[in-house]
Amino acid sequence: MILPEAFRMAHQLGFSRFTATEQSTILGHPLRLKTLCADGRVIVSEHFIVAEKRTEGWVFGATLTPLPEGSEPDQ
Amino acid sequence: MNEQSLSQDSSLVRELRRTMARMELALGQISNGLVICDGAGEILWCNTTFEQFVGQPRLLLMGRRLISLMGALLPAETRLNLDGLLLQRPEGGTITAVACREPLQLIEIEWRPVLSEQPVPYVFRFQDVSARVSLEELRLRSQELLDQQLTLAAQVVTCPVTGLPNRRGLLEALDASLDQLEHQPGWLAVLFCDLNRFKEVNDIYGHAVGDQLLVALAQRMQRALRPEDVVARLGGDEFVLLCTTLMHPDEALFIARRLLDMVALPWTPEDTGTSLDILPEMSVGIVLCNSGKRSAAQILHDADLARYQAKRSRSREPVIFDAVMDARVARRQEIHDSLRQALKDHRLGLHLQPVVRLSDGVLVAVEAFCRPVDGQGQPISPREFIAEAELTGLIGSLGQLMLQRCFAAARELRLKERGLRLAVNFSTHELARAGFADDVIAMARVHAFPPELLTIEVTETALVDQPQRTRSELERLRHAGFRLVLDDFGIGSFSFNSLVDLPIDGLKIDHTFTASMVTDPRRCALVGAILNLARTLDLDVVAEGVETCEQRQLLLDMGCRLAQGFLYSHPQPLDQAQIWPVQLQPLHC
Repeated sequence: MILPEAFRMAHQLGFSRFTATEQSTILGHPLRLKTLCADGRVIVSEHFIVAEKRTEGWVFGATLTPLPEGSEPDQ
Repeated sequence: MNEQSLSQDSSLVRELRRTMARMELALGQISNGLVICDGAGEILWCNTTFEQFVGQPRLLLMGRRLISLMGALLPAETRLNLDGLLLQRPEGGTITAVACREPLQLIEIEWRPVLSEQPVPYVFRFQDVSARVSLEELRLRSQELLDQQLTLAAQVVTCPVTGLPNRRGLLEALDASLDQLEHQPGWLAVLFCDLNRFKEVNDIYGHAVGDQLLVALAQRMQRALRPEDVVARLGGDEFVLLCTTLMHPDEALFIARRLLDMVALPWTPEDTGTSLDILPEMSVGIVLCNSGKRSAAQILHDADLARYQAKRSRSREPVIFDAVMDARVARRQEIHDSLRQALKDHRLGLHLQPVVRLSDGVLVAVEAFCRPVDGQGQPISPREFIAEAELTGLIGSLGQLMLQRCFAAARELRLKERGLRLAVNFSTHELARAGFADDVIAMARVHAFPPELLTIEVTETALVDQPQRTRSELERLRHAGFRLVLDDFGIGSFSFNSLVDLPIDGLKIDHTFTASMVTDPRRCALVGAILNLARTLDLDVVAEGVETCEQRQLLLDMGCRLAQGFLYSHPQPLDQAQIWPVQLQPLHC
């Protein structure tokens, strides 16, 4: 829900690839990404995503820190 | 939603994720960069190749406009207006853009709409085509150079070595003479001359001496001709003389003989430090013509054929082209075409003849004969097709196809199950080919045919022509368990010593001995001696060409056990061979 439209397809495919290969380039380090807010605004926030494999499967956790207005996503 | 449907949904999601992961990984493996953009041109997805191409991870590419990204990648002067392109060609298209000028890097970009959605997303494919286009450019440049060279060559009418007219110059002169022949009676002769063993001169003394010799010969030829005649050099060691305004065809022969005498005078190379004389020799083919109806190219072609005949005859006599030669060439062409067609269609006529035990007619073996047919469906004689196949290099493929057909026939006749041998013949060229034995061994293995049931028939000629190479191949075959038999024994130039040394299992007495032994006591004695000799050397003997009861009886009396010939059966196609009984009776005893 927080992903802007343009990111959803890549997210679904990337997530599927991760579940198949268990290899990721985005976990465990901060990412400055565009984020879709509930009111429809798109802001830039810092995402920090972690993952842990448990018996029942992978568990994901993330912190999102909104960045000041005018911040640029990672280039 | 109950627990079962939740579980089903969860399985479906897992299945979909696995499918998507596979697609994602597969698309990442291909060498083309792939990008999917939404209707606004923002990147929704790209594969790994595209990430590498632009040098940025996918995470940073999502949501960016492809157009602005490409704008940053391509040089300003070649920057693409993708927006404009998509507007102009919404149905899709391909363009090639220069990504870098030095070194040249060219990118092919293809775009296709995904028509199932609105606004229409686009799939883009990026491919580095620098290598392909460079080759294409190279080809174009080569073609330009070739065109330039051809244009220049078209203007050259003389040979740079001898100063004589070249082919083009000759054809121009011949055309003019043919025109003249339309208006005034008389004869015209074209003498196609080829220097024998010129390669040896080049190999021994070098090309500089070879060129000197060509110049010397050109001068001699000019001296042998009348002022109105033309001598041209076609290239290599080929010269053509055009003799016009002859009153009688015999004049051409007279000129040719005078030419041969002049050419044959000893010649010493200059500045080579050798005092050895070279004795040049030529082969000459002549075409005579008393009308302008034939084309210059055809006349030259016919003269070359006559020259070829002269060279083959190994005599110094010139050969005049005639209709028989033409028919012979046409026949050769027909045979060649038939053989190529047979190889292409994988079809080859095969006839089979039984080998029987003389005492009771019991079938012991089957000999296979290759029987290709010509354009009219008539069989081509072995002498004709083998000579043509050897000359044109088709013999190897023909031998392979023949053996395949033999194994197929053996399967149809159940030879293996019945313990009957299969005998096959190969040309002398084939037997001397390095790797021949390995091919036979491999093919027998593929067809699961026992080596001990396959007899390779070898002619004496094969062993005389290339004894070492043939022997080496035969020894490999024998070592692998195949049987070897000396075919047509008694008519070749074979030494008894070789008979002892050779790796053979048997002999086949040539049919000419069988045919004459009843009426010729000396021939009969010779057959008896061959049988005794074979017995002493522990060799099997088959008498070939047994046609009469007298011959059969005489062979039996002399202790010959096996025979084949028309008395039992002509060579027959496979369907006839399939109805042969176990025991064949003589047809008229």
